[in-house]
Amino acid sequence: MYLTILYCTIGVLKKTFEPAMNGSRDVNSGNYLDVGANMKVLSCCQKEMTVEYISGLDGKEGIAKAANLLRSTYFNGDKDACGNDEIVFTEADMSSALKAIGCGGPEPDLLLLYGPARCHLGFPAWRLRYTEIMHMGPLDSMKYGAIVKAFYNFSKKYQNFGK
Amino acid sequence: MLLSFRAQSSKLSELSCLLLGAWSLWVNLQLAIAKIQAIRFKELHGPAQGSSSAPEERGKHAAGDRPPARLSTSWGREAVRRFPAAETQPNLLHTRRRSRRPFGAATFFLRPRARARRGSAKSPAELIFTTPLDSRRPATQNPKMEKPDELIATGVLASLQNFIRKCIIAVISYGPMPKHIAFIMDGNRRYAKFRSIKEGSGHRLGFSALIASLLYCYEMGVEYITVYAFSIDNFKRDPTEVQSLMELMEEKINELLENTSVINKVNCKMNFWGNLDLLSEPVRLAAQKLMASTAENKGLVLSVCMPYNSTSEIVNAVNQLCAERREHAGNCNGNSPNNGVVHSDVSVEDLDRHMYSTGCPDPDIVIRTSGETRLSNFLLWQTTFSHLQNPDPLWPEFSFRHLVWAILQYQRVYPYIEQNKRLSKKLL
Repeated sequence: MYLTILYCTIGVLKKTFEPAMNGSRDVNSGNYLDVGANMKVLSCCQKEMTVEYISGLDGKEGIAKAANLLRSTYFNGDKDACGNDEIVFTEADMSSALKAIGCGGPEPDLLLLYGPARCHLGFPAWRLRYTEIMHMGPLDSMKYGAIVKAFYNFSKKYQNFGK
Repeated sequence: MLLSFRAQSSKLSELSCLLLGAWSLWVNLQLAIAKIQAIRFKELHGPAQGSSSAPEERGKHAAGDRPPARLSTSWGREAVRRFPAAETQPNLLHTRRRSRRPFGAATFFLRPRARARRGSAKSPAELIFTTPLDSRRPATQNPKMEKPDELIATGVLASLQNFIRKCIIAVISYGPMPKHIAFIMDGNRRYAKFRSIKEGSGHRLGFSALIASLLYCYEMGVEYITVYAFSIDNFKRDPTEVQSLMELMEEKINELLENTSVINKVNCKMNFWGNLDLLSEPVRLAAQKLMASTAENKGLVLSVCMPYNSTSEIVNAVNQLCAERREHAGNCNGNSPNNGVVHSDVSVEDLDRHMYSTGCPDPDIVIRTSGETRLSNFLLWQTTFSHLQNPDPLWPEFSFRHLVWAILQYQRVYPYIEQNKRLSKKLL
């Protein structure tokens, strides 16, 4: 099963395909943090490929929403509830919160960037940590051969993950 | 059209005359410096050392022998024409190389791999340092006893180099210049491996390249530099390697504290971004001391990310924001019995205020050397509209020409990036 993520800063793709798509309700996403968040992950599942549409609102705004969710879950503003214990969030908490609001998901291994400049333009930070970013040029230069070449170059990459 | 062509050609000829005039002024200045050094050498040492040899041998240099390499250049011929006394002091013009090892300045023009093959240890940073940090020179050696011919040649070439660099910077400054450049210093270990040198030496050369890039950026007017020195993921490496890296960081930070020539030259303010609690105590204390000593500087801001992860930075910002809101809620509850304080939702601006990079603009360019195409958890929040570049040279090989090329590429895509910034501000 392959996941393809189509990202557009201003969300043209998301808005265009939203009415036509049968947005699958990911029942598991609401169970993170014991919060009954009914979030809809906009995706289309076919037999072997899932296509996900995201926009600039899923980037920084998504992280801000996740921070809100964490704050409201653990700190209700009641002094007695927090007591003297300071809860310190970890990256795992943040990942769970992002999944709960529908901005989490697997990290892509390869990001093909179409446009005049090599900028990721706000791609969700939590999903871009170790992604190979390849600049393909303008969108009208998209060809099958160029994508195959990108895959070939990707296959030659070796990641240490910090080691 | 003919008139406009004539006007343009006259302007070009004026500009070329100005450049030639500046160039000849520079040449005369350097020759004057060479003359002064020649006189000084004569005063210090009396007759030249070489003149103790038989006059016949001296004559050999002037007679039909193949002219020495130096005199075959226009610089050498001009120097001989203007300082005829130099002919009787052949050592002054270094007519013959004393050793096969090339002197410092010439290695600068060699390609890095050729430089490494020749075994030259001179790096750009060492040429730039006025008070060298290395202690290879024995204490008993008097600096004035350095070969004056090498001094002249080195000084002339270094001046030429500076002049060309300033010209190039003046030309590229006509376009939009980046205010903030971020570097991912990748390739130190590979550099050491390819050149069969100790692994720690690769990181040391990487530090030299960092200082050189810092000075070049200062000359170009770049105000903020961020470097990815050590990732939290790098703690997974071999413990001996991590220990040697920590020792190197402590050594270099202490050197910067003792020898503040570089920091004072650029009036640099140092920041250390990252979870400093993960560092060993000596390194942490040294970093805090350096930050405190440069806090008042108003010049170039150098931010060293160690140990750093972008996701860790975001989580840290969320924690700080929650602590701030909790404290604020506690103060408000203390003042009024009713818990009627409504907290606004966390916004992107709130998180921006608590990032390590608060007060710094977002990077305009992110350069990762060694040709790798990923960001490796570096400044993911801040690089929304940054131009990502991945030149092929390894970090110790990164030099002025790579920096110039990076800026030219940035200038090419600058209109597109600005357009996207305006569009996103409008829509998001």
